Amino acid sequence: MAELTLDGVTKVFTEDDGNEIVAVDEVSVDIEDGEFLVLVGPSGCGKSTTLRMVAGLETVTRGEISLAGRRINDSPPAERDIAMVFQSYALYPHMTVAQNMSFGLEESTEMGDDEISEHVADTAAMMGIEDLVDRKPADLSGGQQQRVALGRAIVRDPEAFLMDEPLSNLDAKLRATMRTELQRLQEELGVTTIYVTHDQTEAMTMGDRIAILDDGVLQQVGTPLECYHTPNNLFVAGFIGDPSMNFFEMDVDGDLLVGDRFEYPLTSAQSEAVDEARRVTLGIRPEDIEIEADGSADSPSEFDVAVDVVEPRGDENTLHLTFDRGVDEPVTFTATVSGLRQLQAGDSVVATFPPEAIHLFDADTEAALHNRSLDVPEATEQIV
Amino acid sequence: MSTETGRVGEWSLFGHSLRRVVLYGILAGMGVFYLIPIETGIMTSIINPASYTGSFPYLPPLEPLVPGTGTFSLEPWQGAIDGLGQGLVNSVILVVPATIFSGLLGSMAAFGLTTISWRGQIGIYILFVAGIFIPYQAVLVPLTQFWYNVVPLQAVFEPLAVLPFVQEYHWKLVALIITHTAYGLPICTLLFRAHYKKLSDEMVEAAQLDGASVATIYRRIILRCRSRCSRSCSSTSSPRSGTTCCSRSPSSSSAMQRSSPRIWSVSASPSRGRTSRCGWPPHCWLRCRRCWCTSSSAISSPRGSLHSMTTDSTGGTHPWQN
Repeated sequence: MAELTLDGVTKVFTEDDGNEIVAVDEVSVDIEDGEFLVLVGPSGCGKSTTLRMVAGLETVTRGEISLAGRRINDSPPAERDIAMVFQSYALYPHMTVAQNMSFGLEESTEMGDDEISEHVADTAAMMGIEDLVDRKPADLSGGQQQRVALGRAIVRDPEAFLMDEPLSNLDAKLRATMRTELQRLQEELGVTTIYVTHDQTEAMTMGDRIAILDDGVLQQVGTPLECYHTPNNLFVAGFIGDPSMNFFEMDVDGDLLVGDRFEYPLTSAQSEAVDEARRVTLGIRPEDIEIEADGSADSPSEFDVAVDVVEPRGDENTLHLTFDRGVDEPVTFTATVSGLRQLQAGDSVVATFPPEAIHLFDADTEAALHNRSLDVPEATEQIV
Repeated sequence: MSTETGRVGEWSLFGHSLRRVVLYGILAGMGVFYLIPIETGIMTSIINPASYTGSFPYLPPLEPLVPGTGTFSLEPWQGAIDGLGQGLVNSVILVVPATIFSGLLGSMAAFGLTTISWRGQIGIYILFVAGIFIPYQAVLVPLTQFWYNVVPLQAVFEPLAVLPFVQEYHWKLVALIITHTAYGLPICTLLFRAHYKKLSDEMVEAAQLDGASVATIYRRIILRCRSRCSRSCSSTSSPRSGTTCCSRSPSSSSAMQRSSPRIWSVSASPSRGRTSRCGWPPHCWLRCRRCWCTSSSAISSPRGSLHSMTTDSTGGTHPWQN
């Protein structure tokens, strides 16, 4: 168990025709001992490459990776004392579960056969796969293979775990179960972990902290709620949260934001934050939008809108709302309301954008100018 | 007029529809057509050579019961065994080790050229593949000179002739084993490489992280998992890759099958006088009915699973193998 530090880590791939592609650009993260860091981003953002550099499966172009204070840039994978769980599990198909799990111990330690089989039996019991140890991977279900792959990593008792989308091959139900189980395991073992995923739900629910990558550049590192409530920029705001935050491009006119379809007044704190910016992006999360079925807009932050589509999810309804009435393909934004609210497509409703829930981003640099105020800090702290 | 197998209203014959009858008729006809050459070969081999002329080669020797069919005799087999016995033994001594070596070395080379990545491997691989296209006729004379003049194998081997079962001329077999191993290598590498490309990279990476060296990965992972690997990989990660039909022995024997007859016919083998003049067994049966069974293709023991590949690698197969 140890802390893992990435300092200005960069990976440049050179194509055959000499083109250079920067896959990972100056990524710096300090991962504390025993921390669960989730590396999240869309496909092709460089998160897997980062993980593979830590594992030693890719060379590091620039920067430094150190584990427990020891620089490991040039160490071969075997000497890094790191275990990795792959998306495809990468089990050895010709070996039994027990052989799969003992392979690493046989190759990397001086343990005797008895000691190895004892370790394997303990880990198998911990993972609940003790009945499967004599089977081959082909005879196991996806969830069982997943457990074996985890067990193979755990049995080595490494300094750090690397997990490359380990749950993405499982069905939705099993994925939710394994998510909880993985969290519990990691807490129990206290091993520093980097977990790569493209699924923001996994990122939000599992990580002590999340690191959000886009196009090889680190966008933000923080606790899930920090990233959710105080995103650094437009990308993070849009990536974290499901359904995504609504964005409206607006012009700044003094204390007023002027958009194509509506105007929105700024509070003094907000206009101070906007400062010199001429164009901003107004962001608001769907669950912050308040919907009134009756009445009409009688304050500047209330708007008359029409319901375009209702997506019932049981616990809540996702409403697609629009300012454009009677248009074939209207521009919509989303709001979530309780699943018990009876709303139909075509209904006219009043949507309120509460001033405290507004995010403002510079339209050019996409940096956050103002994030929603968290006037209910005790609520967030309880959750954390 | 409906029947068990036919559709309602179809004409039928003995309870089967006309379509079925015609289908089986054609299939039987084609079966006979394809099997006649081998049947002819077998019948000819048990007819007394004296009564052979004028008889129908595909009829069994039923004289004197049926005139014009020849008399039964095992004399041709006797002659073949007398003349070829030593050659058959030599073939086994040659083919078995050469097959094992070229398979083993080919799989190692393919591992090094596929699973491990290093600079310049494509260039080396192209050199390997180019080896497949070297015509054997072009190198026969230099090769002979190589074994006689450059490498003193004969002198090195001579002292071993005192061992039991070892004859002095066996040095030529050793030379042939080495030659065949070398010539079987390119095609083996090619076939093994195709197979290794299907193995999951993540599995090899997992082994690397587990602390296994390159040699260990080859010995404990790559060599051990052949067809089973690609099957289970396909079930977990990539559904597109199916099972592979390639295992070690067919691939190398297909290489042997191609190279054997050619080099064989010029080497100083005792069975030389009776080997195929046609050069290449796949076409033999068309030209001379009697020579195919004495050519070394019969010794290379073709197996059922290799025919799909021999078609690719040699450009033709015995029709009865298909």
